[in-house]
Amino acid sequence: MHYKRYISALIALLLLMTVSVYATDAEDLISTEHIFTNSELACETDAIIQTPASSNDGMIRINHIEGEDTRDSITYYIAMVSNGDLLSSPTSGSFSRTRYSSGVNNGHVTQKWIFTQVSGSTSTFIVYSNTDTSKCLTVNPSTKAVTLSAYTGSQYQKWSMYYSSSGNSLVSEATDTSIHGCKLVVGTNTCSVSNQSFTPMGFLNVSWYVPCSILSIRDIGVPLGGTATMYTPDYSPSNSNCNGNMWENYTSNNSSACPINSSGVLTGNALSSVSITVTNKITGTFGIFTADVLVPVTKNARIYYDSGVTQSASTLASIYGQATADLSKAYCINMNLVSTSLSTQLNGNSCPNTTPNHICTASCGTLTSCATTHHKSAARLVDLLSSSSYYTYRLVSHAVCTYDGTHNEIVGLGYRPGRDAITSVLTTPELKTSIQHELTHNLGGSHYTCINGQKCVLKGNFDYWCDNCRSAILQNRN
Amino acid sequence: MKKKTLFLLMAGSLLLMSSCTAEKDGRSIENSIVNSSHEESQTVLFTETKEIPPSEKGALEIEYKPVFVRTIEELIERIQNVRQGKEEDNRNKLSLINKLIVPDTAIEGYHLWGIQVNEYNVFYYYTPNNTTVEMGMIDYDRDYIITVCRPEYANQEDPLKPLSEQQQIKTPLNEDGYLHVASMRDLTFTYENTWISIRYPKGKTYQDIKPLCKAKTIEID
Repeated sequence: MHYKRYISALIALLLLMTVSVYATDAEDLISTEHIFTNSELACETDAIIQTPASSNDGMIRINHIEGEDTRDSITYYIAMVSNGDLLSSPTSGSFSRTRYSSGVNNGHVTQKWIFTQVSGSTSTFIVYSNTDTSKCLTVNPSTKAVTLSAYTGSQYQKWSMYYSSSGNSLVSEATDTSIHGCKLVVGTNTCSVSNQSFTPMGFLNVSWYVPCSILSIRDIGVPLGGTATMYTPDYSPSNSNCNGNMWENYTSNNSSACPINSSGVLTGNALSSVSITVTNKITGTFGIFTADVLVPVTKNARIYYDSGVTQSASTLASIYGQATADLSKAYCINMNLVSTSLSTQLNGNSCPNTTPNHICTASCGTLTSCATTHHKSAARLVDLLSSSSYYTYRLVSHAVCTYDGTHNEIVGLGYRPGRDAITSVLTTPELKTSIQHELTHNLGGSHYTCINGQKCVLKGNFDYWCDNCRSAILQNRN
Repeated sequence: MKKKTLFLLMAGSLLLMSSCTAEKDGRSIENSIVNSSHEESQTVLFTETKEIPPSEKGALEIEYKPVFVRTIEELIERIQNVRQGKEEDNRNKLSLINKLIVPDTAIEGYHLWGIQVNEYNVFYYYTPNNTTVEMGMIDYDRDYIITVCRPEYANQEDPLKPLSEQQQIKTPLNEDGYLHVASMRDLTFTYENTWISIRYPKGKTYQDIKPLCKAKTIEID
């Protein structure tokens, strides 16, 4: 019997959760002593309060603003979360919604709002139009319409700011109980208040706000039948704000093949190469990146290491995982490491003529026959332990040599294309990079075609592939 | 078994030498050589004997050993030795360096742990003062890696152009004329006729890193 109660409770909980986040009532309004930052006032994604004290995901009254204890007034843009429109007053006493760009030539005069503190309160404001500073937001108690009217000191002209994770709101502070707690709803040319819904908005402190003028995002691979989260965009100016999910729109030029949701998560529905546009809602600045929907490829892999390697098997596996993580994100190639094992075949102490730190000499065989006779020959060792079923990586603790016209100590080598590679842990300052380097050879990247002036792991730049190596990997990934 | 394996190894290696493309036609691979006594090793769960098709193997591509030193002074000495013929030049082509570009900044709480020079770049590794770093274990989340592209491999007219055009980066220059790839925590700027890149640790921002965009040139005798 008890389980029926639990199911009923669960259904009730689910019903509660399905109520639109925009539909609230006065009981949801909660006060806390949180000091709000400009970022939180602007409702930036990364500034969302994770667990507001006892809020029940309702709205939190903004009682204190960081660094604004002694202010008389603050000028804000009031931006709509839905599309970045700014609440504007094009002429004295009128409303409209305009784009940020339309105010560039007039200093955004008609788009600004002056929040002036009501005497004796740190959190109740008169909201004046910047177009006509004698007028302020005023509620008509009968119609609940909001107009821009001359300031009289009326209770219907008092407002407070409220925070919620889905967007902030202006709330009437009228003592009239039919109006008190009602929230601002912004229409095309009109405003009103409601206790049933509100228009989610951000309060952008004008002196704080830095508009984004350039936006760019790295290309990404999306597994067919799976999902991938887009890379973090790059913004310019670097200190621009109001970026991130809340203030960006993501659109795909082929939303059936590869849609993107409001959190930047792409879904690979069909093999395709799709352009994704990321647009800053406020400034209209946009960036485009390519999402290649690819059949995910899993390559089984294994590591062998010799007796002298000091890192544990789990550490080596972790390093390998870090070295291959971007192969998954950029190319949908999952290197599935199935084993990390010691193999004494790779030991350098089998050389009777040298110490581990030194490569073989002519005593081990003529230098030109390094690949067949030298104990520490990388070309010889890379052929040990091979398998057609696995990408096999060898990590050795001793120096390794090769002959390619001259006899040299090297970091490692790999077949292009192929499945086999080797690195001397002794020789590389950066093991992750070396592993990624050799695997890039295995997947088709070559020094012969690597583009000068671009960053590439074949030149030592971790997690970068020049355009040619990138193309080679995409061609060879299957 | 051992004789057979040795013979096959030698035969395979001879093939490799003759064509730069190693093949393992008809070779049996024995995979049961794991030393299972090692504490953390995982037992390989297969013992297979498989034929590897010739197409499995391609050309061998080599990662040459870079020069690795601990200090700028040591690097200058190595370059001087090569340029004066006291030390043999190798694939890293130290002899081409007549001007060494070095970071001209102190990073608070960090020290220069090592310098690596390969044919294409000079890498300056900075690690926290209280951290001991093993060889091979630079941490991109913790450390600073300042990379100087060797001018002979840079686009001398416009060093940042190949990077801003690079498919993977595709990032225009920012308001300071730098190339900032936030997803990589990587800030690149032009210095003389090349570029310098700063890979910075987690938790740092562009504003933190911007003051580090300084370098100087040391003339090598």
